[in-house]
Order: sequence, then structure tokens, then C-alpha cells
Amino acid sequence: MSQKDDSLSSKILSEPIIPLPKSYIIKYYLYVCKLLVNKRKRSKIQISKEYDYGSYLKGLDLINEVKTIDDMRYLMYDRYYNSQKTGYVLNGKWCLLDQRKFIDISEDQLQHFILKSVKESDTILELGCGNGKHLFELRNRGFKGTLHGFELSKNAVETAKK
Amino acid sequence: MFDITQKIPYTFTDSTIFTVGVTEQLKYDIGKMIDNLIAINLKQVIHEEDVHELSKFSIRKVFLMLYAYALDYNTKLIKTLKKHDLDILEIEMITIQPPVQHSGLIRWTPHKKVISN
Repeated sequence: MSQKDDSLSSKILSEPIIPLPKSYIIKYYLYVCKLLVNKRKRSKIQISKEYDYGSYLKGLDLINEVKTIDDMRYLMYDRYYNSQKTGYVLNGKWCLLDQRKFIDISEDQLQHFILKSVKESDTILELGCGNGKHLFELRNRGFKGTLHGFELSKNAVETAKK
Repeated sequence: MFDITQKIPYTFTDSTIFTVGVTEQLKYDIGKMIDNLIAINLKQVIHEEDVHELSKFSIRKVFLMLYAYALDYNTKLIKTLKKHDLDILEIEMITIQPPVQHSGLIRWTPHKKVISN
């Protein structure tokens, strides 16, 4: 499948970029140092709990607020991380960017990459699909083949089914 | 429900499978996951995952590696893929990265499969 060249990413990235203050960068590095103090080892149980975003949504009583694909995409970030602008790295340079724009850019790039790699009649499966936001977006962008998602979190699946 | 680190009890012949932020968590089982995916005769796999190996040396890279070490994340996805019987077809870096991630899009197919599009 082919996509238009005038991608959402290109439009967003054509806007002026705000450089990130050095104090922010130092803050990130200090955060990493703090994590090093409590170094952990991965286990299956820990992974299944730590990445259960469906339960984060349920814990924040947000599942009932999820009504559109935009809610699936932004709601948890807006409420859980409570951040508007934050630091990112663009072509090796630190910049300050609205978190929603980062989500849009990375989603757009992922969707373009998948859609250019498949045929319309293909079957696509996502392992660890969470609330299914990537799969719903594929459908929104015109993919007509079969879509399947696999997810461990019952709460995330509940949100996807809504 | 199935465990991707165990034999996958379904057939997904000629399907495209993708993962977003999954392999970093499977540091100790990522080789098994790749073996299991190859075994189900799929068409291709697409990952949006951290690819620390592809970042240039810098202070940020040092902190990326320290972050991955602290959280016990996998940092050798490309190296692990190259050990398996598959062809890496395409790698594209994510345009804008969060401070502690270096993500890329990787597309691979089990060896000797021909992608027609």
C-alpha cells in the first residue's frame, strides 16, 4: 500500500523547534543515575505488571472516558504523565516539544512503515497490542485486510473491545 | 492466550506481525521469541523497538546504556536478529526520540522468503 508524501510528521517537523534548556538535560541524566541505585532484574511477573497500561487506565478510572481513538492515544499520557511540553532528541539535538506531537509523529512514522510493507489483502497481527490503538489507526488509514491483536492485560483488552 | 517465549500454538502463515516496545522487555528470551516467530511460517516481522547498537557514541548514548542497564532492558536486538536464520530487509530510525530511548523500525523476514511488494 502507498501513502501520501505530505505526512503528518513532515508538517509537524516543519514548525519551529524550541531548544531544550540544559537544566532539563541534567534532570534526565540525574533520573538515570537514580534508577541505577535501584537496579532491577527482569522477570516475567514483573514485566506483566509493569507494562499493564490497561490497569493504569482502570486505576485512574479512565476506561469509561475512552470513546475515540484520540482518547486511546492521548488520555493515559495526559493524565498519567501530566505533561504538556517535554524534552526530545531530534537529529541529535535536544528540543522542547508537546508530548501529543511526539505521539503523533511516532505513530505516523510507524503507520507509514507498516502500510508500505504490506498488501491490502494481507493479515496483520500485533503482539502486545495494548488497547489496540495502532490496529485501529491502521484501519482508519484505509487498511482493508485482517487485523488481529494479542494482549496479556485484560483491562487493555476491555478498552479495545469498547 | 499464549506465551511468545514458548512454542506458539497457532499458525499465522503469510501474515505480517509487528511489535512496539516489546523486545526490550524480553532481554533473556528474545532469541526464543525470534525462533518461535520463524517457526510459524509468517511473511515478515516489523519491530518498533530500541536499537541502541545503532546510536553514535555520545554522552547521551552512555546514559541510554546506563538506563537500559538499570532497568535490565535488552540492548542487542540487531545483534540477536543477525544470529538467526532471517534477512533484515529494512531499518529506519524514528525521527524524534524520547530522552532515554533510541528507537528504530526494523523489518525482517525468515530466510529465503521473497516479498513481492
